[in-house]
Amino acid sequence: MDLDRALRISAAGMAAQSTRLRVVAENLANRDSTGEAPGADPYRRRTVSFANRLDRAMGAETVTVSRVAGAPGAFPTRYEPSHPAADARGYVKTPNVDSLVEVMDMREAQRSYSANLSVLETTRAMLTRAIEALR
Amino acid sequence: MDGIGKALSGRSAMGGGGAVRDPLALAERRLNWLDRRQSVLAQNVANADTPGFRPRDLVPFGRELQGQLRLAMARTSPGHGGGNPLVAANARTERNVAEVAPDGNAVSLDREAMRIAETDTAHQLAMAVHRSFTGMFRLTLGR
Repeated sequence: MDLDRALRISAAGMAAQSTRLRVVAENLANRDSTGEAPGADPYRRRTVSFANRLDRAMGAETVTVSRVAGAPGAFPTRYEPSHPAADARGYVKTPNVDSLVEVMDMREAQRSYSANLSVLETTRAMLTRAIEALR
Repeated sequence: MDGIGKALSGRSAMGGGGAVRDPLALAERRLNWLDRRQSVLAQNVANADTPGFRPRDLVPFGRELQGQLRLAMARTSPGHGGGNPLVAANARTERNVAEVAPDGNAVSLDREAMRIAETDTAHQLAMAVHRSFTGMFRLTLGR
């Protein structure tokens, strides 16, 4: 049934967006996670990739998180010789997380999540209407 | 009175080639089309952040109806007879999209929201037509 399928597609969209939100939370939480050994790499920002996937059991295309990978980019450095992770010249590598970018990503995930939710609500209203016709 | 039997058996709505002047059969076809459209639109919204995804939509109902009036080949599965089996029957990729993001995604959420609202309203109307006609049958049968 197509409405049932629509419900599941929206649910898959919401699940994918929650994964994205989780990764954003991880990035923000690790904004200050530096390495432990001198000169070690700090936390690397992670990003999600979405992909269109065929759900064979359902016979429809849904969305899924295909990959959560580290974002490329140089680590900014900070001069702090007393830090345990400082290299020989006294510089500490800090994560390549930009909180402004993360907050924007979070907003986008939130918007997409609500869009999926409103589709789900409309579909549910259509289903309810169809069921009421049986009465 | 053959309209009643045809409409209630459901054959005229599904089998194709039947009289589409029958309001019940027409409402049923419309509902079927709206169900399929909702699922295509849900796909578009779910893939609003998928790189390279192009939104899809169904062939307009009027045109699909005209196509069904001509003889169509019977299919046992919507995936048969060519085309992409992943895509719902008669769904086609949109050509004139509003804007394309740098990652190749062309879904515009406001456009989809408008279409979903449209589908919802049309579904309400079709259900109302269906209800009022079955009400007339019920009245005639005295139930």
